Amino acid sequence: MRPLLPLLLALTGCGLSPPRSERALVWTAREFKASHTAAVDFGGWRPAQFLMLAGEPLAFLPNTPAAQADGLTLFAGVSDGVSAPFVITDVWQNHPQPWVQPVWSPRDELGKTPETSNPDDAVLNLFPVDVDSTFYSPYWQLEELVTPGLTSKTYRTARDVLNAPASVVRRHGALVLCPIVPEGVGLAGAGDTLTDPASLRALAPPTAPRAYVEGNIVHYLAFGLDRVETDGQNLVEAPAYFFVAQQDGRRITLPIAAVLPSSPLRHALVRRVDVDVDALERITTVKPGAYVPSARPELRTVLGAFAGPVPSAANDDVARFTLRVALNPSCFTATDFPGSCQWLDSAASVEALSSAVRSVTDVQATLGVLEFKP
Amino acid sequence: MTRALLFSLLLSTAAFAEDVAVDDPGDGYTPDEAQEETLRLTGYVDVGFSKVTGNGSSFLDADTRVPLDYGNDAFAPAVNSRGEVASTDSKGRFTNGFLPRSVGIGSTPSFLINTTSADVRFQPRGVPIFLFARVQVMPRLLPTGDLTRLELQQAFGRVSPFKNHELALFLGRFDSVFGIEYLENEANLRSGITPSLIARYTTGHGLGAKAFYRFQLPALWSAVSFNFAATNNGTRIEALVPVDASLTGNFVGSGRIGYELNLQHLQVKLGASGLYGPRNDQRTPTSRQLALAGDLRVNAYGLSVSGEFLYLHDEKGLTPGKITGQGLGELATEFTVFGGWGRLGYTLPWKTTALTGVTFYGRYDRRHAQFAGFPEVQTDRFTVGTRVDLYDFVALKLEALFNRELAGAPNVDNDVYTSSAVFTW
Repeated sequence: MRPLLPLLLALTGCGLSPPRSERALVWTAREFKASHTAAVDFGGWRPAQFLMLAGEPLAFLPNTPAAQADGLTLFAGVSDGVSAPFVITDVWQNHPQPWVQPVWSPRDELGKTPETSNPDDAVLNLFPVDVDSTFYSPYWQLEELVTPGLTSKTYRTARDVLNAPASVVRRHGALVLCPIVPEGVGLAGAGDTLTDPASLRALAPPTAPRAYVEGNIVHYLAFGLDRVETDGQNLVEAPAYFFVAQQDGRRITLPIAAVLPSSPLRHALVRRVDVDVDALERITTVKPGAYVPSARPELRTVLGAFAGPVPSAANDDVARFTLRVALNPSCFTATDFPGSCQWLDSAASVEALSSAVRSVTDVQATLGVLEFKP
Repeated sequence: MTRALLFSLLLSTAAFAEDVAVDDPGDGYTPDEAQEETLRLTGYVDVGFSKVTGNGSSFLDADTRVPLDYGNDAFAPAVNSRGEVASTDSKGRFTNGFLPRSVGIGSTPSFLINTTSADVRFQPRGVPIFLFARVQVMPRLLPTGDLTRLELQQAFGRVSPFKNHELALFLGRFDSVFGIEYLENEANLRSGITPSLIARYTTGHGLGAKAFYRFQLPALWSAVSFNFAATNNGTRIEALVPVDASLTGNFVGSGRIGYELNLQHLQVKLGASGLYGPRNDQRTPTSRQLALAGDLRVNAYGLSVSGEFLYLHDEKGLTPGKITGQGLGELATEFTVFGGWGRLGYTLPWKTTALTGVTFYGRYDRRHAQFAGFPEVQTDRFTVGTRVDLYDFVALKLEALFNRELAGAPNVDNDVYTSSAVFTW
């Protein structure tokens, strides 16, 4: 039981709904790790919520073997009724819209990245800035550099790239989502296995390559292409709904499935919108609750009072509903489950609630939404 | 060919001009008081002709980093004594308030009215008060249209309370007190044409209060001076930091302590400067700026050697927004710069009624500057030029600037060939 204590503090007692900030603030995986044990507010979360250190029990799977390396926490999410597990890679508060820097990808004459078995001879991508830049964001505009005679030493700095001769062909590509992370930080899982904390289905992890920033090696997570939409000039943000409640006199972010925008794989940049469960209960006179199968008592412990009634055995195998919120949690034991449940499992269902329960915050976040393994 | 034609034209124009006495700029920290009339009008017109290589800016087309002005030195291709550059056209790419003003000519050779400057000086007889105002007009055509500017560059009242002490108290908008390069802000006073690579940090005009005190040490042929100011903005040029209002409610303190040795054939001046206070491009007083500088000037037998070095650090801005004299940026980034310049000049030891001075000079500038999280941009510049003075009221100047990017910034073709004819009245 002892290992659960810090977990419970992190997941239930310490996630504050963010107070408005006069300052422009940004937190990346570097800060998540550096401030892991600090009781500070990162846009309504505590640093420990974003990242699990090696040896810590997994956030939503406390009975599974501890993570073997530092990793971003896998959160439960749902979008248009479909599970959408995600990690949070960056958080901004009262901050201008994120900028898009170039990421340079050297290619040989065939348009490919040369392969090598020796890491020291690898041709790496290049970022112009690291996370300590005011103008860092995890969104990058891919620019391929088709370079005759390419070697691992051709490009190490932005100056190398910009001084490249005219024989180098520059090809602009898609926007990519590549948050720079501290060395050794991946996604929190048991061994090489990543699982959706809700459905327990296996997830496809992002790759974790290396790159150069001004001659220095950095590590990043590659979530792939076209993870965000633009209006031509700016990245387009979409609302993501996080459930909050009063606990011990404070507003906390509940560890239940956040409601993500439609097409979550294309909406990595989200605006945090808080959904006040207490206000919802006052309006509907029914306390909302999250679905937790009876076979997962450890998860029920994590959620505490916010877990709905224990489902009947007949309703215990619909794993995809795990951690989703229903306005009428009594449906968890009903014979017509899940059809009788009023799920808050889509942006439309949350927007249909009274506006009194929603509050748009000054917090933005980047979500690395994960895909299920086939 | 075109430049040669301009030079001939200017020479011939000067030959027909009347001989008009002008003020001795002296130390330049303040205009000289009127000795005869209580109200005087003075000024100058600076006409330039410039050509910059490349596209006129320091920006490469292939550079898509943001902000564009953090990874290059946009101030390098300066064409006139105001430090204005041929172009700051980013072609739509994002910049964040670290830009000089532009004359908008790009790489096209062009005549320019760099500055038309008019001064009004008033000193009532028998009263230790002096009033001064300087208004300047800069006709500019930029790609976005006519952006002619009218600027009240200086406007102050000065009180000299003691007849036997060189103490002066200023209130208003006045010259910087930091370093020595501000002494040559005006084209008619500057030996060459363009300011150094660090002038942007030291030569801005301040709005506030200033005190100057100098005492002589006759036995040592020396003097020690103190020049201190408390202003809204500090000493950066107005393109970078707004002057006309304090954004924080706290002032920026700046000052210089100077020593000078005045022998018959040798003059040596040394100074140390400092600055501390809020960075006035943020509305929070807790983001501060600090600068330190040292300077040296030696003059002997027509030979002059001068130099200045600077260290400056801006703390990170805490709140969104960055307010400059040219508009709004998005964030004020932590910033550090170290740099300096050295100049060697030689004035020919002979003059005639028409030809009142011929000076050749060369200057080396170096600047290492870094916005936090961006590469340190290391640049240097070689400047060579000549100045010919005619009848004491016309100055003809030719100058070439060879800019180099040493590290952090891409190599860019942005050398400058510029000329200036300054008519003083």
